[in-house]
Amino acid sequence: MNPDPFELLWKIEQECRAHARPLPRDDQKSNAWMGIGFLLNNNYFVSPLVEIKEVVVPKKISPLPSNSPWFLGITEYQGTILPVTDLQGFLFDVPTTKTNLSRLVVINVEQSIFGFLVQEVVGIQRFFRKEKEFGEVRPSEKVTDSLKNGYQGSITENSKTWSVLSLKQLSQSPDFYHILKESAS
Amino acid sequence: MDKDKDQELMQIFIEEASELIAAISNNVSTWEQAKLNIAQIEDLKRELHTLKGSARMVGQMDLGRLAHELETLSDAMAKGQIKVQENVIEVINLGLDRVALVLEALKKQEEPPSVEDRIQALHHILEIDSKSTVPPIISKTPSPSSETIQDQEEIKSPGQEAKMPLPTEEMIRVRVSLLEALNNLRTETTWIREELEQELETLGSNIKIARENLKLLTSELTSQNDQSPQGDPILKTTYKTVTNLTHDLKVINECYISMESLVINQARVHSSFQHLLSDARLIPFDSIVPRLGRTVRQVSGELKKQVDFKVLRSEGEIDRSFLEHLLPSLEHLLRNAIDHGIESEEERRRLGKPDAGKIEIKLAREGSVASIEIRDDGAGIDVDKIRNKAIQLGLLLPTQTVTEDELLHYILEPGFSTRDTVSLVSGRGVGMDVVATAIKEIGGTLNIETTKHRGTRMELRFPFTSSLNRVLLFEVENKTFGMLLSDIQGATNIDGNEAKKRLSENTPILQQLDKTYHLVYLGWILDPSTQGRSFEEGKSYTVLLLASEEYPLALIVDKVQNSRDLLIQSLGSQFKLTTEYSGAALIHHGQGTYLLDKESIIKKASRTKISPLQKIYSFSLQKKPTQPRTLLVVDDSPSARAMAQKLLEQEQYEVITANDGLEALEQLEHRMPDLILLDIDMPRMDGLELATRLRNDDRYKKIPIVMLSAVMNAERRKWIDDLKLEGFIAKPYEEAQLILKVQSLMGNLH
Repeated sequence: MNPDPFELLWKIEQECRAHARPLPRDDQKSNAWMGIGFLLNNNYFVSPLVEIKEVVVPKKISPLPSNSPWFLGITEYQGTILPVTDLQGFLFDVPTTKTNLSRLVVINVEQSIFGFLVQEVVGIQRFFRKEKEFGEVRPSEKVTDSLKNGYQGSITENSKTWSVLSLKQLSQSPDFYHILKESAS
Repeated sequence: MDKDKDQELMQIFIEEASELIAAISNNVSTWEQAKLNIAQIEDLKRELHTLKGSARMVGQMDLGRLAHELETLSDAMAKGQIKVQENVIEVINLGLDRVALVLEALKKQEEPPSVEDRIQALHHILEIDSKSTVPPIISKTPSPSSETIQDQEEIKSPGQEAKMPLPTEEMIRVRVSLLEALNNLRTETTWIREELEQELETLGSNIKIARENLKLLTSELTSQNDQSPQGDPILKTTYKTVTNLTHDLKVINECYISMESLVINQARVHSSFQHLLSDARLIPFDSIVPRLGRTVRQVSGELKKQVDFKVLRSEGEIDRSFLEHLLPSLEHLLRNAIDHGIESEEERRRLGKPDAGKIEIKLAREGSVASIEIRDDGAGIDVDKIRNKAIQLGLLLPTQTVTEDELLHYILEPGFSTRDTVSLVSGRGVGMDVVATAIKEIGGTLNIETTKHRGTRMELRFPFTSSLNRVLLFEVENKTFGMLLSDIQGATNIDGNEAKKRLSENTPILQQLDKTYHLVYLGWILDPSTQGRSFEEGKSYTVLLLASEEYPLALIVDKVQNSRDLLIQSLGSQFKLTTEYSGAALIHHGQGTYLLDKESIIKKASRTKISPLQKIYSFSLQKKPTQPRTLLVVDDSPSARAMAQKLLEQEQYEVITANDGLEALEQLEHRMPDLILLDIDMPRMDGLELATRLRNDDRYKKIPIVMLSAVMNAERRKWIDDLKLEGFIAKPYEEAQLILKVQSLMGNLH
């Protein structure tokens, strides 16, 4: 005999409830630290959401003659000029190969806007911990010289390690302005 | 909720009061110059009264009291109970400065400064002076500088009574962000329109192909039909379908033609829209004058120097964003002028100068360029001191010889100060570089002139609005660049072979119209790694001529595209270490294009020269023709003819003219021109007809023809294409555009 369909539905609901991850508590929700996650050099990075203006699909970039390899040129963004930095190139000297997944992360610092090309954006990430805890995490040994600006530690969650990178701080580092070959040397 | 409302009220009050203060300050300074009429005195009183009322309404009682005292004093002055004299005006100005300070504090939501001392000071004057009665308006002795008088008269031309906007025109407040958003949308519609134009062009050529194919198909079907006289039913149906298709295509083509004219029409509307929108971004220069006056009073007070500050020709409007951007720089220049420029009173007396130093600020507009000039009659900049400091800082070798102008540019380097001591006001070496950067950011330049003991003149020149500037677009190494058309003196052509030969010389130069230019390939300046590239033989390259006293430069570029009105934008702070580019503009499909900075390119070219200047080779690029080249200008408008004639004769061409096609044919009987510039719309015989005749006449078919017209449509374009005419220039044209076209065609002739 077939079981009562309502009973079956009720059983399924119970099973679901039993196996579902509990919702974050309300107080936790409001304390969640949020960032935009992206891939660089096949490593996971996350940048504070508050710093980021928008993530867009890159349009045509006009290259600058005699540029530093990591400075890609200018592009159009909302009717204005946006300078574009290859973030992976800047941090690891490995140029990003542009694919359909590549995105531009746009940040706004005071009057200026900056664009960063990343390999792939992996969405908004939420971490339920206090912001100061990031600072307590020791930077990994692999931190390059360029990464020392803006690197704020790392978070490991669900066996994934995220490096926290402040693009705003990165944009304040002196190297960031050496966009020409000769001035970089 | 109430708090929000209060906040909103306060915001409105601050804006209103700031405007009132600007108007009041202007009226007060005019009063001091004894040029205020009755209506303006009434205005002043009304403005003070409004200020008082508004201040009380938002609970700023102290500010209200201060305004009240100012009003009472002005009233007494108007009635002649108090003499209009320097010390009184000064107290009023100090009172107004305090009002402005209070407003600034309120804006930042800080505790406003006390106004008590100012109220007392005003009160004091009222008590002392109220006993003596004098005529209401006392003329001050005229200023010794004739220029000043002339300029002031210019400000107050007869009939120009008050500076307030005409009461008939209603005004509304608009958020700046809204204007910016509108402007961004405007830019976007430009690209959409451009894309639309391109799509339309593709559509047009596809229709053309489809028509050709259908024609072929029809004729094929007809011939097949002829071969089977019985009439194949399938063939018949196909024939019918093809006939229908031909009809459909005709309808599509008609649609296409009307769409094209709509797009042309839209372009016209769009350009007016663009201009009006940029006008909406303009605000009067007047509005910052009180703040500048305040800076001068404050700094001269701190340094205990007497300064006579004059604003000449302050009427005019400047793009809001530019004015805001430049304000800190202007204040800095004024501070510098007082601190570094104006000498101490004793020193001035010793030099036979008047006790009070003179600082003047002047706004002027020349075409698309606005200039703000700050001039002082102080000590001038000590060039020797700069030299020593530059050597000390290792910027200059003791043996190096540099011009005074070059030395002056060192003060624009970050961290450069010739001051031995640091004062609160200046001398820290921060500032001039910031000024130079600020002006560069909006695509402008800073000129400095100085004479020892006579004074310094600083001039900020920048595009009048951030809206549109004429830019010449050209290609170098497959990249598109632009340069302000106003920066380019002229252009000419050079053959690839010739370019190669010349550039391998020790000192490549180019002689053009009795002037000698240093010749260089632009690609080498922008990217030295491209040096040694080869030029295509037989290909014609364009050479842009840049005028300069020290280093006139002829820049070889690969190809000139066209000149366009473009919105010039800042490249942003990431470009702060590069000097070659003054800005960027967005062209087709929002593609970013770098704009070259003329001065910086010249400087870089003069530094990157391969070998030192040893001998000058003089050569002429285009073999001077034994006989000047002749051009025939055919146009029914006498002024258009005259303009073209004047322009071309300046370029050493001989010009003959004709009123219409028939007259042109007559002219051709006597004289064979090397090129014809042809208007389309003319009586008797129009340009298209004449062109068709000439192309079908063996005698004339080789003469290059350039069409000129204000109207361009699909039909005309087809004519021009079919006749294989050498070019089309839309009227009204830029002079440079015409010259470039003519030169490029003439260059190809020999």
